[in-house]
Amino acid sequence: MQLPFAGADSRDSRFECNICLDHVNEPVVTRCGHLFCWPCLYRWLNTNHTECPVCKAGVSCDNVIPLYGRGQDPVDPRTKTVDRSAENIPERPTAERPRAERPRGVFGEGFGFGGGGGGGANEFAQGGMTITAGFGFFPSLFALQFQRFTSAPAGAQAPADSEDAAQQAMLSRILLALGTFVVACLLLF
Amino acid sequence: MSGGIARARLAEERKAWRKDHPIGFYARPVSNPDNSMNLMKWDCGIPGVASSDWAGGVYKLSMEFTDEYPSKPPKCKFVPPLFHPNVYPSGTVCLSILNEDDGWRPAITIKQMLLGIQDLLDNPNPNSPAQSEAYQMFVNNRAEYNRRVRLEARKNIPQDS
Repeated sequence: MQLPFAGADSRDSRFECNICLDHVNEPVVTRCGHLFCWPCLYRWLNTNHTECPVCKAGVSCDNVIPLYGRGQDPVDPRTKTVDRSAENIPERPTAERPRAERPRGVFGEGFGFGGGGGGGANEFAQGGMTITAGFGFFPSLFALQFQRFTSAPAGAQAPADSEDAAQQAMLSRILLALGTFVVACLLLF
Repeated sequence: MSGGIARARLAEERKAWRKDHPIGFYARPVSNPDNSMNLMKWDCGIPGVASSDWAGGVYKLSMEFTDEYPSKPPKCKFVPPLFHPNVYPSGTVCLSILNEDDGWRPAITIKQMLLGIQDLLDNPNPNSPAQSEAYQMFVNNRAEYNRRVRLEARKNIPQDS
């Protein structure tokens, strides 16, 4: 019956705050998925309520997720009749930033190609960023060892090879640490 | 403290109601003496469900909002008080979703409240009686109760339609 975008002047109610029913301002979403203006939700939670204003799931100020759309808040601040400073409404909680998951297997490959001094075919496989950067210290030392990996056909690498690579990675890490230590000693003493 | 949000929300409720509301119902803010709207008090009408003994009547209800709205529900009162097990002698409706300590949630709209009260008319809750007359009759003499309900419906036939 109802069109999702019914007309130019009718706003899409899917993006309206569930408390003020207006276009959402400083949007936050609860773990149960309900959208609110941060000031609206804060006022509710600040009056001894611990449940979602829509579905009564548990909500606290700490477990809501802010939504950062593109650009600035589209709502003209002058149209907002609520003075947040008068009520001591704090800033929205900030979003969490979980670490991006590294694709499997990249470590070994990135290691091999990185050692090859960029001679490898897939440049984007430099997943082990810190390690490849580390090679800068001892390029001549490692270049020979890694030549083997770059020249081997990509698909033909047996598990034994990657084990080998892992061992070498460990070795290079130790050497890197050692090198860093030596440099540090040189700088300090 | 948050009179701003109560009024802003009620303005949105008004907009939403004008755009779309269930058939047979009405809901509008009362007028001040100077003809301006008082958004904090609404006059509403709830029609009885056609298939029930309440059919034909449109029951007048007033909704009074406080500055705490929508953190707190409005006071919903039948004017004049209605013969119903869950309506207090004062006319105030006893319904879980209208109870601050029970089922009230800020996301409940005026439309949902009115539809909830309409549903309550023909589905009284004997576990929370609010007036003895209707409750006793509902429990002890259902035929007489139904007759009284039909009488109530006839008393509340809208005049101007």
